[in-house]
Amino acid sequence: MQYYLPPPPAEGMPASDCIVREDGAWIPPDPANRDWAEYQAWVAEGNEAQPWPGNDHVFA
Amino acid sequence: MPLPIGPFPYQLINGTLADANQVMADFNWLLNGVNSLPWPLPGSQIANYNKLLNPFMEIDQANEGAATNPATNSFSIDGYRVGLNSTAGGVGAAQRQAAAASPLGYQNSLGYTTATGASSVPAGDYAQIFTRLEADDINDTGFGTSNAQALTLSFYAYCTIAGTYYVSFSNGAGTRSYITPYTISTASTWQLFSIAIPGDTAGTWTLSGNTTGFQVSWTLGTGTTYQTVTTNTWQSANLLGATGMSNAILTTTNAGFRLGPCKLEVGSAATPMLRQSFQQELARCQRYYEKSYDAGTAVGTSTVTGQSQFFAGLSTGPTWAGISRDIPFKTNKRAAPTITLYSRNTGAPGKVFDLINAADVAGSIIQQGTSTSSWTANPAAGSSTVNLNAHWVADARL
Repeated sequence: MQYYLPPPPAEGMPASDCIVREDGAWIPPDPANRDWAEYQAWVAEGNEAQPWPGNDHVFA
Repeated sequence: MPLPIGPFPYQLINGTLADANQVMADFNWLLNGVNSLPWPLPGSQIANYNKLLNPFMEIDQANEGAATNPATNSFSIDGYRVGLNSTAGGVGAAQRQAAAASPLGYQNSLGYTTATGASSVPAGDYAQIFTRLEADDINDTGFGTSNAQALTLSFYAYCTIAGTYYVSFSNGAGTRSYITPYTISTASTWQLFSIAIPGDTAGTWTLSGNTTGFQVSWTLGTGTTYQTVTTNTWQSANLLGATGMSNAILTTTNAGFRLGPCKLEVGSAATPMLRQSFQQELARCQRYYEKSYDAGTAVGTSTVTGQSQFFAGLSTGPTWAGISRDIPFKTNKRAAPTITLYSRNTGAPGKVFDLINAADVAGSIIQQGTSTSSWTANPAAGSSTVNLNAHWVADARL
């Protein structure tokens, strides 16, 4: 599994506080969200989200 | 079916019906004649509320009938997950079944098929169909207190291999379990089961809030890690089956198990099952999963139908650098949902289709809430006209 930090916001737009999963899913920081809990467990194992891979990145 | 005759059966408080939802449920039951199907009919007893989501197995928003790989406890039809943990080569698949593979008179069931039988079932292996209930949905059970209520599970089951199988009931943390058997006496034949279990007066149960409060598992097989010698009693462990149980479904290629309509209710007796309208059940399911695609359209399909669109055209004026578009959910979500955008042109995840520039561009999600979210995107090239299109899926499943 891999996660990415969100890209910088477009001008005038608020920044996203989500984490982006390798399949292109945007996961909000809600403790009741199943995916966020999985991400937290992944971080607790010593993993770290990667920088945004670029707008041309192909999610799978 | 004759209408029951007797005193007005509903409580009035200050001239208002105490439980309008129950009245409506009863009214629908009378209108529908309790389906005229072989569900146990308890005389004039009013049907209890069914705590299970999608109990007729008809809604499958995520897969629309396609098979799923259960290797990662994957979600199958709405409300149900199928898990296969096989370290000995077992491979399976799960998918919604049509009427021909469902109990007589019903349109759908959930099927599991062993594509490749495992060579053995080591201690930590298992296969199961399970469903989770939100803690708020078991608020009336009193579990974990001296007032814990009995529950009754009714379900249709079909298996290509006759034998004794097990259902597991557990709390959200997996620290309390109740294992009980049922016997499929004839292979490849639908049977209706009704199992009453006592309420759990001990343990820690979460009875309110939006996290998992309860789990029901139809165990297809399991190794010794999740087995117990003691059945039909609440225990402080995470259990799925009994010592010595058959694991033939896991080890037999082409073995199949199907779960038909089911009901979980408070009380020690089964009451008639009420099928809600498709729209009512879909709305319940959308608390956990919703998509922009129409019902029946698979996620990732290239279609304009149902898409979320931002269009603005100016004959002269500024160049659009970026836009945002709200996603108003039809049903409030259990929690802030995970959202995936899909190009409406290519179906690519994480993308938005820029119609003006005929290209997929990256899409972002901001301001996720339980009622509304927003997506943003920048056109591939600046223009005085912008037309960005995306489909989306919002996932707040347990």
